[in-house]
Amino acid sequence: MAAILSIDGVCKRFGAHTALDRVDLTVEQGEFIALLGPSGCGKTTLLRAIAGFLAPDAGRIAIAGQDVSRLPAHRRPLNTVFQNYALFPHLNVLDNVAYGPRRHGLSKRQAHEKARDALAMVGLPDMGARYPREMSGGQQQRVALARAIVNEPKLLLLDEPLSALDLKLRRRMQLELKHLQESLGIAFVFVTHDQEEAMTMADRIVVMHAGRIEQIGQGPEIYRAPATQFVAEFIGEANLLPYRRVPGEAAITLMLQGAVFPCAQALDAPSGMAVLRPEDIALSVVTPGATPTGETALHGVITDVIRIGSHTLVHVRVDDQTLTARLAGAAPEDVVAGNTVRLAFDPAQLHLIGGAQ
Amino acid sequence: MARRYTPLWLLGVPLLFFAAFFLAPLSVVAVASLTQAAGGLTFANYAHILADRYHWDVIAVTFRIGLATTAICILLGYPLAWYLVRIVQWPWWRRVCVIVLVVPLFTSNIVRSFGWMVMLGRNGMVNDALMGVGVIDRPMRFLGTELGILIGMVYVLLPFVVLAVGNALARVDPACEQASSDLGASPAATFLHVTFPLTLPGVVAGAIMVFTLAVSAYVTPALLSGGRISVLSMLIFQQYSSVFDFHYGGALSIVLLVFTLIMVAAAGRIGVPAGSAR
Repeated sequence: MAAILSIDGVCKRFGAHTALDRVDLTVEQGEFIALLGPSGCGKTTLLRAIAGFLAPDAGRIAIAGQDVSRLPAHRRPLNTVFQNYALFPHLNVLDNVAYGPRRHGLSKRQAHEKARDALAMVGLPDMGARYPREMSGGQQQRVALARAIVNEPKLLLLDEPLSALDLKLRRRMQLELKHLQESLGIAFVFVTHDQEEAMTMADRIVVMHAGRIEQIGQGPEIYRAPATQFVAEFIGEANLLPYRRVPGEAAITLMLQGAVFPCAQALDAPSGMAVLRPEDIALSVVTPGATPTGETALHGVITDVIRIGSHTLVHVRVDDQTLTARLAGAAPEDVVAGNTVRLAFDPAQLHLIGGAQ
Repeated sequence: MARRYTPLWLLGVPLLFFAAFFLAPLSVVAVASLTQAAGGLTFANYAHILADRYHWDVIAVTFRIGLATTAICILLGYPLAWYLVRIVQWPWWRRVCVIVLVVPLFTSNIVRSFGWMVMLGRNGMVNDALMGVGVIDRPMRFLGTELGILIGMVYVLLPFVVLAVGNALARVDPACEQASSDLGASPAATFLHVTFPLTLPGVVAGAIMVFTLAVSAYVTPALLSGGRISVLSMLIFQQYSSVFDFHYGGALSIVLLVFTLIMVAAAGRIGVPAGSAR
């Protein structure tokens, strides 16, 4: 498959603020990419640079092999779904969708025909005569989508298009978008700050932080093996345990309670952070008075038990760090604040990030 | 008790104000226009106006100047508003521009029109400048021509268009223009198909203000016409101030009002964007 979008060393500064710091990214034909990160991480800036709404200070952006770095937005072979849809308030829905084809020189009749097809594709077949302000947020979102795909672009950019919708509708639209993308075969670059949304839809997730790409990978891979401490903390919940490598052995010492664990992961750095996901911890209450046994486990005191619908989060104080364990369903009766517990886990579940502080 | 009368108060006070300051004077004029000095209902005043070619000429001059003023104000005011809203980067420079634009409105219309009389005279600055550049070799006559009146009117009324259009331009969602260029529209096409239609209500609002003020203006045309050109407001002034025929003057006023309302209603239809709730 050929690269539909390639970004090489793109930089952008706003005054003293670095919005994009040497960003490299390649998107394949028909791929669904999510740009994920907290607000201010540069994901929207990157999208605007691709669309041509702002000029990068350095670097190169190519679409389907053609360098578009110097092309104005209206000459780039891509389309965008804007965050607040940016529908034209003075045009009805059909004319909104027909706007692109009209500007590309189609007759009014041909453009309307294409627009009707696109509207049918997004599930709004008979709404052409309405005006944007007469429609619900979800419907406007579909119109914006129809307007963007009617030109049959090679690449579709989506700037948090679902953020204004309520949760239920958003979930439904996520799946619909995913199916639409699969049937159209257009590459999607989707900006979001919602990791669940990214996990649901994207083939690959690009995690951004402070203008840099922290990690690119499939959802489960990013969750299982975060490349940096930022990714570990941003994606899902993570317990970060400082460790030191045991010299000459395939083992690490956790700074907490000095526990030693075997370690299969090859590591150069002598120390770093071990990532332990809350669901990988097994809790068992230690009877008061009994001496803690088993070196390959941690011991701590429960501080909080939080029931969240389908699962329970248990906060456990271990030395001066609070770890979170996640139990499916309700917690056993003796898992209450104040009790001492043993935290056991399979050392293979530890993911080590070398060199992290 | 008090609560029961609250709606009455809320409705009554503005209604009273409206009646006292707008309806009553207008009714006085309307009644006067339909009566004779001797009393009794008559349409003679209107018949007199509409049957006389001279009046039609004056009406034509009045509305020609009004329309030309409106057109020129929009042609000059739109780019000026664009400059202020879209091109000026420093807020302080924009503030200076707006002050320069608005300050003349604080000076008396008479003073400003006299200023133009001096500027547009045979040996005025305008003629000097035009001759200096070599565009003309004999002084042009501005005073007493429609061109002279037009220059004075555009100067007085231009700020209204700049402010109305500027306001509309500032409200255009930049995302709409980006969406337009994203969909393949060149900057010119974006202006034609998105920006201009979205600012059209502002343009129409400015145009209506300028047009109504221009056709009813008295001071500027009176001073700059040099007695050679008459507009309706000057005829009306004559009737009220020297002839003392309030009936005939009233009829002239109503004619001006009706013609103006017809034009404004027509313009208002253009200004309503399709699909708006209005």
